[in-house]
Amino acid sequence: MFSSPFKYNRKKTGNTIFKPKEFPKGRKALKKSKAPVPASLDACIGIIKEKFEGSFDLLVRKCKIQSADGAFVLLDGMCDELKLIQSVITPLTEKQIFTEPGESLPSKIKNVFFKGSGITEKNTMDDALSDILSGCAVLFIDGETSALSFSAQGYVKKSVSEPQTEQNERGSREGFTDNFKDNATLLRRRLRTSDLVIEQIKVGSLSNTPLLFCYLKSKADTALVEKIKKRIDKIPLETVLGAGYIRPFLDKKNFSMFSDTGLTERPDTFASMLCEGRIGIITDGTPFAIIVPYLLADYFHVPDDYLTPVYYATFMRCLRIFCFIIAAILPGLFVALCLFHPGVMPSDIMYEIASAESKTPFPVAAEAIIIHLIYEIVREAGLRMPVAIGHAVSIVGALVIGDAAVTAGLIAAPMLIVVALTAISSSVVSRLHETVAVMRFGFIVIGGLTGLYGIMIGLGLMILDMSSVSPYGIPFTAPFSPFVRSAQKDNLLRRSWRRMGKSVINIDEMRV
Amino acid sequence: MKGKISVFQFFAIVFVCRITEFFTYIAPRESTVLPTDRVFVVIFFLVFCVLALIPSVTVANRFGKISVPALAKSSSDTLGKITACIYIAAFIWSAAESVSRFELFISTVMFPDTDINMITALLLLAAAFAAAKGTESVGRSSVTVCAVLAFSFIFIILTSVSEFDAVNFSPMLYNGIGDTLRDGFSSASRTWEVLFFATMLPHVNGSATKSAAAWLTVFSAVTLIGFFVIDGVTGQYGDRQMFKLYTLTVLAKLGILERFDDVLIGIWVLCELIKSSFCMLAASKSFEDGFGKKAPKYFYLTASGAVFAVFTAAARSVGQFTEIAGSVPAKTAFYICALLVPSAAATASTLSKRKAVTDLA
Repeated sequence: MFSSPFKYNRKKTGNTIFKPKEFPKGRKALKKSKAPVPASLDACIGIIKEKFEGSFDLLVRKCKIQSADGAFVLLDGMCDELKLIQSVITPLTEKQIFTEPGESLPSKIKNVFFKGSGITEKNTMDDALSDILSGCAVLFIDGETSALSFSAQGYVKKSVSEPQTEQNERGSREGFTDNFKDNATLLRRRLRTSDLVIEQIKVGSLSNTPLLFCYLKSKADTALVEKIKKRIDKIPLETVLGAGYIRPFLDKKNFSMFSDTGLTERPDTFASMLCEGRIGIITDGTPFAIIVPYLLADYFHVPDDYLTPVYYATFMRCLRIFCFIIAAILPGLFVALCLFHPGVMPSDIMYEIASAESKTPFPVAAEAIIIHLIYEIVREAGLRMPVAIGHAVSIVGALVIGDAAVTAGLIAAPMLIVVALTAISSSVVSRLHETVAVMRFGFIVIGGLTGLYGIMIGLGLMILDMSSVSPYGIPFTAPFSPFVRSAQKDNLLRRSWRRMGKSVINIDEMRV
Repeated sequence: MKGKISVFQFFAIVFVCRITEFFTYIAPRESTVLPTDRVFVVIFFLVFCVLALIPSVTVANRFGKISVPALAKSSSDTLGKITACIYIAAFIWSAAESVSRFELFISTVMFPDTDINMITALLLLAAAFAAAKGTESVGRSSVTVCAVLAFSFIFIILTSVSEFDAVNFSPMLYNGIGDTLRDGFSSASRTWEVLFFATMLPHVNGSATKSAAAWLTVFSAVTLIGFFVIDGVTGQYGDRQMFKLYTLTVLAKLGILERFDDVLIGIWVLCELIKSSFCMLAASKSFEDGFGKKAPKYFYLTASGAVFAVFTAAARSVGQFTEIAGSVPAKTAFYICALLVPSAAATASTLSKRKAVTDLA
C-alpha cells in the first residue's frame, strides 16, 4: 500500500515528534493514507500545519477539555465561529465531563455530552483533514487517538433564486444553488419519501468534490444505478469543478452531436425525472444537475407543459420541434434554394429575394456564414459581459448589424430575417443550442455546395446520428422511434392528469 | 437486444428501400400496359415476390434464423465464402442501381446542370457513415424516414386528388394479359430487397414470415394507391413521362405552393441514404457470416467506392441504364441470388448434417 508522507518517531518520553518526509509528487500524493490520529496534540497540529503550509486561513484554537489539552482546527470563512463558540466550545469548556474507566474522552463527548447529530469521531488524519476542508471544526485532544468533527459549516453561499437558463411562467421559481446540501434539501422538499436515495460520492482526487447520486429505489433500475456508479468511480480527474467535467464520462465513447445526459437547473424538473426512474447527479459548486439517461423528447418538454391546458401544451411541443428544425436547417435551406432551386419559391417571393441579394457584395452562402458568425459573437459577448454592458452589446448588435449593414447594402434584408428567425427559434430550444449552432454552419456549407440534395443528406445524417445514441440501452429517439405506445400519453401529445393515470411512464419501458 | 432490430424497424427499412424504386418507376418503353391494368401488374409482382421470398424465409424458419451465407458456411467454408461474395456483389449492384436511377432523374428531368458525381460521392460517404453506426441506428432512422414518407405521400395524394379524372382509366385487360404479366415479372426481378431476408433476418427480433408478409402487403397496397392516383390524375400525359410520380408532384398544388416535386426529392434522398447504408450493412454481415470473421475496418468505405464505380459505369444514359437493369442477365442474377443460392445452401447443409450422422453411426 501507499505509505504515509509523514513519519512519526516516538521518543522514550512518549511524546511524538513530527518529522515530515519529502512530499511525493503527482498522483501518488493524492492517494489517501490510513495514518491514525497521533496521540500527541503537537503531532496532530504539526501534521495539519505541514499540510496547509502557507495557508493564511487555517485556524488552530487551543483550549482545555477537562484537564487535557485540546485544539480546535478549522478553516477561517468555512466555519461559523459564533455557532461553534455557542454550541460547542462554551459547553465543552464550562461543563464537567466525567469519564468511566476505559472510556475515551472523544467517545464520551460524542455519545453523552452532545446527543445531537453533526458530531463524528475520526480515527485517521485523512478523514479529519477531509472534514476540515469541508468546513467542519475538528477537535484534537492530547493523549487521544481519535478526533471529533463538529459540523458547523458557515461559509458564504448563494441563496436559492430563480433558474437563469430555464425560465417558466407558472411553475416553481426555485432553482438549484451552488451548494449541494441546499440542493438536496430542495429535492427532499419535492419528494417527501423515504424511497428517495441521496448518496454522497466524492470525485476528483485533488478537489474531492462531493456529488449527490439521487434516485428513487422503487423506480430506478438497479443495473442502471450500478452501471452509472461504476462509471463515476472510474472518473480519473484530479479536479471536478462543474457538472460538465462528469458528463463525458457518463456518455458513450462514440462521437455524436447528442449527449446521453441532460442538465437542469430546476429541482422540479429534476424530481420529475427521478420519478420516471432516471438517475440524478448533483455536483457541488454548480447549480446544474445531471440527468441520466436523457432522451431527445426531453429537450422539447418544459415544466409549464404540465401546468397549462393539454391542447396548449401539445401545440407548444409541436412548435418546439418545429423551432428545432428551423434553427438547424433554415439558413442552409435558404442558401440552397437561393443558389440552386429558386423556382421552388413562389415567384413573388423569389423576385424580392433575388432583387435584395443582387445588391449585396457577398455570395449568399458567405453572407449566411458571416451573419451567423456575427450573431454568435454578439450572443457570446452578451453572455460573458456584465448584465449592464450586455444590453449595450445587444443594442449595438441590433442597430449596427441589423440596420446599418442592410442600409449600407452589405447584407440583404431577407437573409437578416432568416438569421433573426433562426436565432429566435434557437432560443426556444436553448438546451440544444450547442448542437444546433454547429450543425447550422454545416447545413449552410453543404446547402451552398450541393443544394437541396446536400441538405437532405445532412438531415438524414442528423437523424442517423440521433438514432445511434442509445444511453444505457434506451434509444435516444424513443418513444418516437422505436415507438413506445405506453409513453405516448406524455410525448408529443400530452394527456390530461386525469387521463394520465396514477403513475408516470418509467424510462425502463423504453428499453429495447 | 443489442445489435438487433424489431420486425417493425426491419419492415420500415425494406419498405423505404423498395419505395425508392416506386419513386423512380420507369415504365418499359415497349410496354403497352394500360393504367387500369396496373392492378394486375401489382398482383403479379406480389406473386413473383412471394415465390422469390420462399427460400430465404424457409431457411430462416427451418434452420433457426440463420443467414444464408452462415448456413452455407456450416456445410463448407468454400461454399460460405462463395455465397458471401455473391451476396456482397448483389448488394453493391442493388445500391448502385438505385443511386443510378436517382442520378438519372436529377440529370435528365430535375436539374440537368447539377454535378452528379459530387452528390453521389457525398451520398455514398454519408451511407458509409450511416452503416458504420450500426443496424440499430439505421433501423430507428428508417422508422423516422418512413413516418416522413407516409406524411409526404398522403400530402401529395391529397393535394393532387382535385385533378383526378375517371376518364383516364380504360377497360380492364384491353390489350391482353401478356404485357401485364411481363411487367409484373420485370418489377419483381428488380426487387433486390428480397435478399435482405436471406442475410439480415438473424439481426431481427420476431417472425420472418410476419415481416415478409407485412412488407409485401403494405408495399403492394401503397403502390396500388399510388398508381391509381397517378394514372387518374396524369392520364395519357403521364404515360408519356419517364418518371410518373414526379409528374404527379409537378401537377399537385396547394394555394401559392406549386412545386411539390421538391418534397419528393427530399424524401427520395433520405430513402436513398437508408437503402445504400442498409445494402452496405447487409454486405458486411454477409462477409462476416460467410468468411467467419469481422469485416475489415474500411469495409464500408470500400463498399461505397465499389457502388460508386458500378454507378459510374451504369448510369451514363437512361437508355444504357434501363438496358442493363432490365436485361436478362440482371434478372437471371436476381433469381439465382433469391432462389438458387438459399436452396443450394439449405441442401448442402442438410446433406452435410446427414453425412455427419451417417459417419457417426
